[in-house]
Amino acid sequence: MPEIVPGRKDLVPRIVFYVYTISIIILFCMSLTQIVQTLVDIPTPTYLKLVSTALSLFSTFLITYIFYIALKYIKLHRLRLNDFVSKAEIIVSDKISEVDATNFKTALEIVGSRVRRLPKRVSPPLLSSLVSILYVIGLVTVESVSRYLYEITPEMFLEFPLSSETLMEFFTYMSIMGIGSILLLVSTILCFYILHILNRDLYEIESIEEQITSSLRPIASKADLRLPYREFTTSRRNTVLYIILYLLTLGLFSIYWVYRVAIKDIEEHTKEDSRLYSEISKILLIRTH
Amino acid sequence: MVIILDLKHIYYMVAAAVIALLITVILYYPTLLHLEELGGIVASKPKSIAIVRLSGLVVYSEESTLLTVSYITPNYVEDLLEKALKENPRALILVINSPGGEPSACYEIYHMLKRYKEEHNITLVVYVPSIACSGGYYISLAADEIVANPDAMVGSVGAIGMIYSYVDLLKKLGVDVRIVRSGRFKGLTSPFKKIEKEDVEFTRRIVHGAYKHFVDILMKSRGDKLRKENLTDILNAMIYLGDEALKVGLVDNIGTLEDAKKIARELAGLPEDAPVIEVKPRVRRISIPIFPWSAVVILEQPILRVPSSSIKIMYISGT
Repeated sequence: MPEIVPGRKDLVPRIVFYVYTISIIILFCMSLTQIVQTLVDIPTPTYLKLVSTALSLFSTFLITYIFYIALKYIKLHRLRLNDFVSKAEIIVSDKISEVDATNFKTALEIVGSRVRRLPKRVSPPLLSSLVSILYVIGLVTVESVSRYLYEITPEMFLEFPLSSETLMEFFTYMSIMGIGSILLLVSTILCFYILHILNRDLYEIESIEEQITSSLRPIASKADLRLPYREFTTSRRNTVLYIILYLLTLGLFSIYWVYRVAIKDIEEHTKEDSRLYSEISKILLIRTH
Repeated sequence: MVIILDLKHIYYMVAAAVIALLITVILYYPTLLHLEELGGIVASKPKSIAIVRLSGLVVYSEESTLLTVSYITPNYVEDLLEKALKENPRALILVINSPGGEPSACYEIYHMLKRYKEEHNITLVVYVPSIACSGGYYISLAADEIVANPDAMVGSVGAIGMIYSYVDLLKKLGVDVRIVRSGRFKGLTSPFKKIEKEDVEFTRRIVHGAYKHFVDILMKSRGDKLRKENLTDILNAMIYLGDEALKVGLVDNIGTLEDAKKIARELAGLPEDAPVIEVKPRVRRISIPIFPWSAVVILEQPILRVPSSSIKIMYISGT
């Protein structure tokens, strides 16, 4: 019986998630400090800006890695599922008839078309690295231009009325900063999208597996085998609600969201699948040719 | 709970941290060249000469009015001096261009400069490019050396008081104002009553008090440098051109800003190649010098601000 369920080594390592969580919490505290300092008109020390920039980049690289592993897991699972539905056959014995085997084959063909209809996603390395690439370009643009604007703006406005060249220069820099901000926003939206598809794809895979199990269940009972029911099922997470919670908690909710979708759901799914497939393997044969 | 400890994950995290640091360093490279901004962890910049420009009326608090002018406030000066400290200055050149202003603000700025000099062991040189009269000259007295442009106006040691009444104007408008006082000195400064002898006496007393404070500071700072023959004129608020001011002892040198830099360098014992850094304010004010200074002071008080007091004491020149 070949491996159907991706193994533990394919899961997102919790250590990476823990480091990500710590960096996000520190970053959150530092951002709050900076906001308070701005409100009470205390200039933010340069070292604080340096640390928060480095930390924000670091956490972005970590989330990229988490997404990469999670997306790779889903892709691998989909491929193996596809392999499974195209190759699995019932072991015909005195308890399992030819008719059952044919019926099951027909059922698998129906499931197979469903597996093939699963949306084709952009490759995990490309999709996850886009998060970092967009974030780095956006951050570098915004930071550089805002610092430059901070230096030149007082000088610009010494002239009065402002010349057209001055205004043009000012608006050019403002436009560049706007583009940088858009890139940062797109990077965040991409994170939302990845979390969304992770949940949807896992949910879809699980429901396909459920379909296979239900078609196998009567055959298994004839063979005096009892296919277990899932103790944990992946829920369809409400992405819109999660985005609202993310905004309300000033980004802190992302920790839970990532944990739920990229760590916990996948871990639980893997555990359930292992349990289920070990029973299924007793009545199924997978051809390797 | 599943913890998968695979070395490749640790390697990835280390690589991520290194790349993040590298990008941050590249991003903040210009700032990192001035490492003392990181909180003095690293050796400071070379000793330098800082230039701070102060221009406008000396007032305690800046208020936005219709007539936009530059102001010198204690807060503004303090901010600039703090910013100058980041340049590791051994000498500070204050380029003062002011016709004067409020006595309290002048007093505060003068003492702030004295304290700054002593606390940070900085040589203070004042350069007067155009005008340092009255309160403008008052704050210049904190300097170790005053250098003036030969055509600059310096002096006007004195205080001036203005008193005015709206009673006739209000009467013409048909407005009747009655003042109820708990004592004969209450409401002395009210513009809604006729100017009486005791109002003038009161103003005179205040003007003389402010004048005395100015003279005390002048004598303490430059008493030994002032020429005795011209002392009466000086104390009667005479205004001198730069070269005349040098003769009577109100300034120490005449020249340009370059000369002031040279003098500052010599006094602070700095080498020829010591950097000269201009300290710029964080937010500059737009200044439209349409009106002469005195017009600003006169117009601002009774017209632009709703008056609560008819008396305004100023160290201000009549220019």
